[in-house]
Amino acid sequence: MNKHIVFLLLAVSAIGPLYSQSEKVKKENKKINIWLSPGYTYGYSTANLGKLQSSFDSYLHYAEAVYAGDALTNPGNWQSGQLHPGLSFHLGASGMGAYFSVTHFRFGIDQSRSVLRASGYGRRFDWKERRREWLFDVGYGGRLVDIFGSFGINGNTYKMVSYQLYQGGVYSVIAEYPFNGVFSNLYTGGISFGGGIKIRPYKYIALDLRYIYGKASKEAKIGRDPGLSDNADSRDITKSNEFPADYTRQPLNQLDNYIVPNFSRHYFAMSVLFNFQSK
Amino acid sequence: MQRIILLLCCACSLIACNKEDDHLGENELFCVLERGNGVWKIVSYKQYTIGGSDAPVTTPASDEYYEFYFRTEYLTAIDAGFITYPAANYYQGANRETSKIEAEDERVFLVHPRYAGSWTVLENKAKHQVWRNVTQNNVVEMTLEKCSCDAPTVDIIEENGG
Repeated sequence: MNKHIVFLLLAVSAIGPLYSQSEKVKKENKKINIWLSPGYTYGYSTANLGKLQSSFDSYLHYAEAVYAGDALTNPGNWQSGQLHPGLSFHLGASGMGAYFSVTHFRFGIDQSRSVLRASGYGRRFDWKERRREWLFDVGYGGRLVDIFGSFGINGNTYKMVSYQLYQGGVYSVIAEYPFNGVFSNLYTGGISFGGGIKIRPYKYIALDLRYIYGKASKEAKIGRDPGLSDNADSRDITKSNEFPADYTRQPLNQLDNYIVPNFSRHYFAMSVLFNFQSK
Repeated sequence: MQRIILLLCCACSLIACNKEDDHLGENELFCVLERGNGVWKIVSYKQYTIGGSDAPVTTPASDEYYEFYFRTEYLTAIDAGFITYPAANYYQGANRETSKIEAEDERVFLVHPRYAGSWTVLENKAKHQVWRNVTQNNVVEMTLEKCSCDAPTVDIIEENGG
C-alpha cells in the first residue's frame, strides 16, 4: 500500500510541473503582440543605374575631347549597391498563428561623382533618390518570431544636381554654364513585394528583417515619359532643360536625348521598432 | 503609463530623424525660409577671386534684410483672377525690392540689387544659410540668419493716387 502511495506521489510530482508548464506555454502562446511605432531602418539596396552610367561615360568622352590636354580623373562608376539609413512606420498585430501589418518605409539614397581636370576645373554630379514604400504584410505570427510576405506600392522622386567645379574647391550650380542644373522629376511609382521575419529579442523591442523589391513602372511604348528636367526660371531658355542621356550629342536639346528616371531597387532592410505584448 | 509616455517620447524622437532632407520637390527650401515671420537678416558678404592670390574679404552687411512670403496678386492685364506665388522682399534702409523667388535645397533665384542671377546653396539650416554667387571668376558668399524681428517699414509711394 505504502509502495502505491509513494509511487503515486512520485508520479504526481513528476507530471505536475509538466502539466503546469504546458499551461504556461499555452498562456504564452495566447499572447498578442501589437505595434504602432516608428522605426529606425538600416538597409543595403541595389539598383540598375545603367542609364546614369551611360550618361556619365558620355560626359567623360565629351570632356576628354573638348578639354584635350587638360587630363581628367575618372572617379569610377556609379555604385549599384549602397548601404543607407531610413525611417519606417509600423502598425500591426500578431499572435495565435496570424500576422498582419501595414508598413511604410522612407529611404534617402545619395551618391556623388566628381570629374576633376588637372587645371582644377571640372564637374560634380550629385544623385539623390527619395523612395517610399507602402506595404501590407500577412503571414504567421508566433510568440517570439513572425514570418510574413509583403505586397504594396512605391513612390519615388529623383534629383540629379550638376555643379561646375572651379579651382580651390569652389562649386556652383547657377546658369553660367548650360550643363549646370538641378534636374528632377515628379513622382514615379510602381508595385512592391517581398517578405521577411520579425523577432523580439527584448521586451518592448522588435527587429524587422525583410527583403523588398520596389519595381519601377515601365517606360511608355507610345509617347514620351517625362525625364529629369530643370524647369527653373533662372535657366537659359535657349538651352536644353533636360539632363542629357548623351553629352557627346551636340546640341543637347534633341528630342530623344533625355533620361526617364524609373529605377527598380532591391532592398535588404533591418528596422528596430517598439512592440507591446499582452499579459 | 510611464512606459507608454517614455515610448511615445522615443517614437517622437525617431520621427524627427532625417526630417529636413525628406523630399525632393520644387521650392523645398522656400518652406524653410518663410517659416515663422519669414524675415532673415543678411549678416555678411565674403568676396574673393577664383585663382587669385588675395585673401577673401568679409564685409558686414549694412542693415539688409530679406522677407520671404507667399504673395497674392490680381492679374489685371488679362483679368485672370488671383495668383499666389513664393516671393521675396529685399530691404536696405528705406528701400524695398520685390521679386518672385525659386528656392531649392541646392539653388536660389531671387532679387538682389548688386548680384544678379541665382545662388548656390552652401549651408542650409533652419536658422542659418550661406549662398554663393559666381560671376566669371568673382565669388560672393552671402550669409543670412533667421531674424525674430519684424520686416523693416518702408515708405510706400502711392501710384495713381487720384
